[in-house]
Amino acid sequence: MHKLFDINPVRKKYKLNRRSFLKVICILVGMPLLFASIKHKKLFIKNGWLLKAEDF
Amino acid sequence: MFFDLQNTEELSDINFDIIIVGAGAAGITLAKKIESSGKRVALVEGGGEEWSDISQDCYKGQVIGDPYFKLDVARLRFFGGTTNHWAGWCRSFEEIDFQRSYLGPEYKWPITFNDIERYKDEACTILEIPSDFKDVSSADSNIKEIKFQFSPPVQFKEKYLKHIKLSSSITLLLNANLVDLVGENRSVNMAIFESFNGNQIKLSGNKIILAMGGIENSRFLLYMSQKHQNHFFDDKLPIGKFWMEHPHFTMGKALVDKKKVPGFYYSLNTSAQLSNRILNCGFRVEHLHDEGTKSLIRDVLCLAPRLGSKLVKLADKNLVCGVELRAAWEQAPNIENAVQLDVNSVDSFGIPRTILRWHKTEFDRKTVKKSVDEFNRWLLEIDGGRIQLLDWILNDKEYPENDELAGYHHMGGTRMHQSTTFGVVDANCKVHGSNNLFIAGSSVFTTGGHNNPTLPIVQLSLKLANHLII
Repeated sequence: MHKLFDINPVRKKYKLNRRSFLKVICILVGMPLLFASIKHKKLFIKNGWLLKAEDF
Repeated sequence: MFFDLQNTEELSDINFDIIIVGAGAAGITLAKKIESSGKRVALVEGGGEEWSDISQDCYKGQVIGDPYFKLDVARLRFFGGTTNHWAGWCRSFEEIDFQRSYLGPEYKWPITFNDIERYKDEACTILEIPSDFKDVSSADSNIKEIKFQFSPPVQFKEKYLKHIKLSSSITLLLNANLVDLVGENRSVNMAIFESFNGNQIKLSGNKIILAMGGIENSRFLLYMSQKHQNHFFDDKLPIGKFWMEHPHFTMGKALVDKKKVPGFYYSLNTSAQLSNRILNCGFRVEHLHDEGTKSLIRDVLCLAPRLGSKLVKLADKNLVCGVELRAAWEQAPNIENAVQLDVNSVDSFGIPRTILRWHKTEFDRKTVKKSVDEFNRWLLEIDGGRIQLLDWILNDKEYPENDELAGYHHMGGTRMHQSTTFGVVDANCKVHGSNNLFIAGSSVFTTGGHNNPTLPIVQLSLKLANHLII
């Protein structure tokens, strides 16, 4: 498994692991979008009306 | 030529090429079509020119199962048959209606969609409607707007009685009730008819066609089967079985954007039916008056203020409309739904009355429920409106009893199928095992689709007439 930062063995400095960084970005951006999408599609039933979240 | 058996005591027996029993949409279409071929046709109707208690009484019967109409008010027994009070709704079968064999062997028609489609224009001319049924659908939508055509409605009595009375090829016999068949070696040679006052006539014919109606065809075949021990056709045919209707129920109300939902009739497209493994279902979007629309908007305003205010703005521009959403859908052919004979009750000719067993199945419920889901999903996707479902469909409760219930569409019972396990007639509407006994009308439908049956009845009658003429 990749770490977010690797230690450069020569210069003894931390180096950003590009692949792991991209994964983190995907998760940070993707999750809210996924939740928003689920909420958007969810039906709310009120007095027989089939409503969407944005209706309220 | 025209005779009324009720008033004709001395009528000598006559020979015909074709005897058609029953003068409704199917029988009259057949007679008219065969007339031009020069064959001698007898068109024989149990009732008279007008409605009468005595004739209508033969239709009395018992219904066991789900709430349904009284059998003697669900159809008419005089010249013209049920076309004397139909509403004129016309739409043909769809291609998918002939492609259901993935659901089981009982769904398989022995003919194709194109086999009856070729008679559509001619049938539309008879019913005085344009032959345009072009649906409006888009590739990315599961719902399509469908088109019905409305006959004036053509009442076959008004349109054809005078012509048939004067025809030199057709002999019309009224008040003549089919009471028995005579024949040998799987051929019917003679049909015996009786009037309400006891006059009798025997007609000889090379071919006999029963066009007595969606219940009566089964009833009479069952009676013949019982009386003559299947002398005329194969043993163990599923006569009366797989009877079908079109359940009609109100789903609820809706507020729709008139621009996005401009039509009045919708249904699921083929791929949505296939992916959901359901049958055909049509929706009627019936516009409410202004007060009905306002009342629905007020309801939404209380429950969902943001949507409510949006609707108020649309209503100000006359762009939103309250509607009642009704569904009429295809019923699965089920062997338990059947026309049977009542051994305890007979009509005035001693023929056992009908017992109709009719239930809606789990599959029928699945069809309407999934269809409503798809319709609602489509409405939300296009932001075309919101639906308010009734409690019975929303929470899967019993069907309401104070609704339309069904469409007065009697189908199946003598259905068309290659196999004698699932069908009574073959692809040419000839009773399996018989040499010359044919059936016409909606009782031969293998599956019912969701559309009104009159246009397909006329199409199939033209197809049968064509087969008999050649």
